[in-house]
This record gives sequence, structure tokens and C-alpha cells, in this order.
Amino acid sequence: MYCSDPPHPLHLVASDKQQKDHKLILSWKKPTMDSDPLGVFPNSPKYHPYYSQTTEFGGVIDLGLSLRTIQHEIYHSSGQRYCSNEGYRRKWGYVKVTMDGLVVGRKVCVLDHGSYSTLAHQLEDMFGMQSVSGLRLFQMESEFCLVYRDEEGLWRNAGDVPWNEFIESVERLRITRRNDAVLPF
Amino acid sequence: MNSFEPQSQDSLQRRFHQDNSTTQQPRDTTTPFIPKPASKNHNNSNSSSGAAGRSFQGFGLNVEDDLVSSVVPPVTVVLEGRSICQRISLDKHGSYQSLASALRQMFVDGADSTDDLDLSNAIPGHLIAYEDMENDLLLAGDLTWKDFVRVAKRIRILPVKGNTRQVKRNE
Repeated sequence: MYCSDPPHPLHLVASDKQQKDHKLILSWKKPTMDSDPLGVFPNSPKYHPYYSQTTEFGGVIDLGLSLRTIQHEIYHSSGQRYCSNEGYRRKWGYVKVTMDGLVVGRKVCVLDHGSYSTLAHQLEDMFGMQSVSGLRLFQMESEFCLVYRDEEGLWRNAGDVPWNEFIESVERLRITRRNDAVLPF
Repeated sequence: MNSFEPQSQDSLQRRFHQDNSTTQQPRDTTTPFIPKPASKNHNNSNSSSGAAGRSFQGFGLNVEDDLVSSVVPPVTVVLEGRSICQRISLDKHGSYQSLASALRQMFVDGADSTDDLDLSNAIPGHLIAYEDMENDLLLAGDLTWKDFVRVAKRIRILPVKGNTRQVKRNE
């Protein structure tokens, strides 16, 4: 869950760092670069060029520090974004709904409903076409039942607890067939 | 001599770069060095990737919102059965209808733009779904547009028949 978001900025950072390392490796391995100092040095035997070289070396150090700062900011920004997303889910009551046998899930806002019956209506609109007789959730003769994963990660039967308790703990919904529900998850 | 050698190479390389841009001269103070890496990185990033360039620009401006928005990349659009993907910038669209129109133009030959479009009929016989940060596949359209832009990592276009799954997945 938490790992899904950082890989992307890390990839961005890694590519940048890799590019830098690659450049350094090239400069180290090239024999022509090795011959250039010998060629340039006799042309400028003065003391001043030596001093300027020292200054430039200091500049290189600054470059490294700046790049590190940039990388840190990118990572922090990404982490912040992820936290924002999670806060959104809890705050506005959107949870994911999947139905056994279907690839694509849906999202419903449990805070838009005041009871199990209106939630059942919305799920009927979303998934009802998958069955000839519809879902008919919470009805005795229905072949489907609604289960939810609570904040502790346990799967429970929807409808067992009062609606207000349900909306506070529900993290995810799943529409399953009754005979499948007997099987352990 | 060994310790002197790499130093000489680094300084020579940097000096070569400075010789190319003759307008700049080395200074003793450290403050002027800050703009140099910014411009240098900008040049590099322009040649390598646009996203990196935008992120560095954002950092240079010191505007946090710009930095956040510049980090958001375009998302990949995958049409089931095709091996070549498309890319789309969701922040350049303002609504699901705008997205539906763009997808229609991408994948439907001879598409007329006068239709009453939405996600359900943008591409006939197909569903518009997206993968979120937890790699779940969800139908596009349930969230508000602004929140969809924030959570969608990839857009996947599936044939309606392909929505049925034979093997059950354990969660």
C-alpha cells in the first residue's frame, strides 16, 4: 500500500543520479580526457589557473549538495501526496467495491447513504446486470451477500452491525455468492 | 600525483563547460554558484525528459504548489489487445467528458465529435477503467473529476466481455 507510490519518484531520482554517475564514469574512463590535462597545463603555467581550479573543485561540492536537496524535496512531495490521498478516503467516505467474478471494481461513498437499503440500491444499479434476477442484497432468497473489510482487516458480513458502526469501520466492500461465503478467505 | 589527477580532471571538465559559455566567469563567493546548476540542469533535462525539467524549474521558483504539480506525470493509456500505449495528461482536461472525447479521438477511427459523449460510450463495446495507487482496477466515473486525476495511475480500456473473470482471486 505505502510502497506503491514512492517507486515512481524514486525512479525519477534514480534516473537522475544514474545519469550523473554515468557522466562521471565516462569522464574517468576516457583516455582522451586523460591526455587533455597534459596538453592544457603547459599552456597555462601561471599560479592563477591553479587557484581557479581549486575554486572550481569547491563548486563541484556545492553541485552535489544542491542535487541532494532537490532529490529530498521530490521525495517529500511525493510522500505528502500519498498521505493526502489516504486522508481523502477516510474523510469523504469513498470505499472500493468488488464483485466476485468481475475484473473492474467500483467506488461508493458510504456517507451518501443513511441506511443499508439505499446502499443496496446503489450496488444494484452498479452490479445488478451481472445476474438475471439482480443482486437482491439483504434478502433471504438472494444468492449474493455483501461482506466488508473493517479497519482491522477482518472480513465481516454487512448488516450485522448498526449502520452508523458500519460506516465508521468499513474499508472495502465485496459482493460474493452465498455458497462462496462459507469458504475461508 | 594520484590525488592531484582526479581533481585536475574535474576542474578541467568544468572549465571546458565554462569556456563554451564565455559569458560566465568563476567567482569567489558561493552564492553565484546556485543559479549555475539550475540552468545547467535545465539544459540537461530539456534534452532528456520534460518531467524532470519541470520539476527543477519548480524547485528554482521555490513555489511548493508548482513543485507538486510539476511532479505529476502524464498517465499511460492501455487499450486491451494493443501492444502500443498512449500517454495523456489528465491535468490538461477539466472533466470526464473531455477525457472521453480525447480517448475517442485516440482509438476510434473517423470519430465524429458532435456525439453526446461520456465514458460509457466513448469507445463502443469497451469500459474505461483505471488503476489506482494500490493497483486496483476500478471503473472511471465514480469519483469527482478532481479526485480521479489525483488517484489515477493508469487508464485501461477493456472490452465489456472481458470484465468477467473465470478464476476467483483471493484477497
